[in-house]
Amino acid sequence: MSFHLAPKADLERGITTLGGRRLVFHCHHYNVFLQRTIEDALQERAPGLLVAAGMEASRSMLQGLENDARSGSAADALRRAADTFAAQGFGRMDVSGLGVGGGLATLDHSHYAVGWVSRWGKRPTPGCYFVAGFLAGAVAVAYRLAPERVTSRETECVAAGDERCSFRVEVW
Amino acid sequence: MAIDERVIVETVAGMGLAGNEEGLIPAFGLYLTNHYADFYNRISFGVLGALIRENPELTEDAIALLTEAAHVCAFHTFGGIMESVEWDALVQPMIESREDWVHGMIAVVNAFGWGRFRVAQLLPGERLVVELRDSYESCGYLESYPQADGPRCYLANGGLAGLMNLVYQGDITRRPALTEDLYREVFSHPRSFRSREHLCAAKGDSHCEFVVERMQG
Amino acid sequence: MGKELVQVVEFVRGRARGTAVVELARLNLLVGRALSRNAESIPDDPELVARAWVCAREILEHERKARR
Repeated sequence: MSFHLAPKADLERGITTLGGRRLVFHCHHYNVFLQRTIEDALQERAPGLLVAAGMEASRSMLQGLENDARSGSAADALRRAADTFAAQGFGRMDVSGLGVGGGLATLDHSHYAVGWVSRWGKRPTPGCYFVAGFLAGAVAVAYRLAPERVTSRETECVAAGDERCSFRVEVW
Repeated sequence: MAIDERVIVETVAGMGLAGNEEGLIPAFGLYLTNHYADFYNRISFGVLGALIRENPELTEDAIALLTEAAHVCAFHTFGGIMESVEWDALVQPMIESREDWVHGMIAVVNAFGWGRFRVAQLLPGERLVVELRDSYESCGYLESYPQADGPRCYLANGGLAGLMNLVYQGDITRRPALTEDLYREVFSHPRSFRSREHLCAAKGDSHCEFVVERMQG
Repeated sequence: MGKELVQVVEFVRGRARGTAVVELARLNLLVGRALSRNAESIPDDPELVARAWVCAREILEHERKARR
């Protein structure tokens, strides 16, 4: 059973929304080129911006989704987040290791990792910053935590040669 | 013109492009995402803001790369779509002229969530003027920043140049392989197309408008 | 003033496989200075020159690996 909710499309205005926030189709070439531009421009500060942007964008969308879904269960909210993430083309993640105190999540086929390798080959460091941000946003929404209490980072990445992408989510 | 935009938009929107068993969307020779406009806006405007504050002489370099990202996007996404079986089935039967490739692709883009594009003028092989309303870039900009002093729709701007380059410079109608070499050949050509956003909702205009013309070589 | 930095800029400009302006924009961002526009007037500080060469080679290597 999928917990994913379908986006709403306003075809007259060319707008698609989910949880009240806009969705836009883009390909891996654009996604990884844009990320590389941010990394080149900000260098060591880039991960901070990319993860924070991923978290805030995901958190506001997922919060809207939860308002629509009216589900009281944190586990359901996490599953809904993971199913939404997969439906949107980012990869299918295992969030069973996440709880109110954070934990570990894994992803076998991350869009960002697959896209990066497909365009440029391997990279020396993990590159799924958006995913790390998404997970922080998902945990914050599911457990109703203030966003600044949740951090997330990628510890293994397919784009850096690892078997799968792994993320450590911490709750402060 | 035989392009029926409504049919194209409704059909593409109804294709239900969504993740497979692996959670990926392989389509048109690409991996697609139905991504968050907020994410793109936060990172694009965030990096520009940082450079304007800290190192303004590099702002034009960041804009050049944001525009290049859009050229890359157009080449692969629009190119992949215009060479796809879905295009053959849905759009190709409506095509009567090379210009219809432009109109057809604009109709497809109107199902991507980027806002509503409308061709105001198309001079074959020379010039394209497009109006865009509800651009996700300008709307997103205005949600988080005061009125801009210049245009902000870098993706739409570069994307439209990319479309004209595909149709009139790379001759997508012959279905060339969409390689990096072709990309460089097309976009490095001294007479390739470049776009200028002269109206932008982010700077207070009622809508966004783009003029795409060939470089003077 | 900037003779070696000019060499770095010309190195990237001459070897860029695509639009040189794009690779030069990337060089500027990585080095943190607008080298492609101002190299002649920026002093050849050894650290800056060394960094510029590293970034230039990185950019060209990255482009070489791009899928064709």
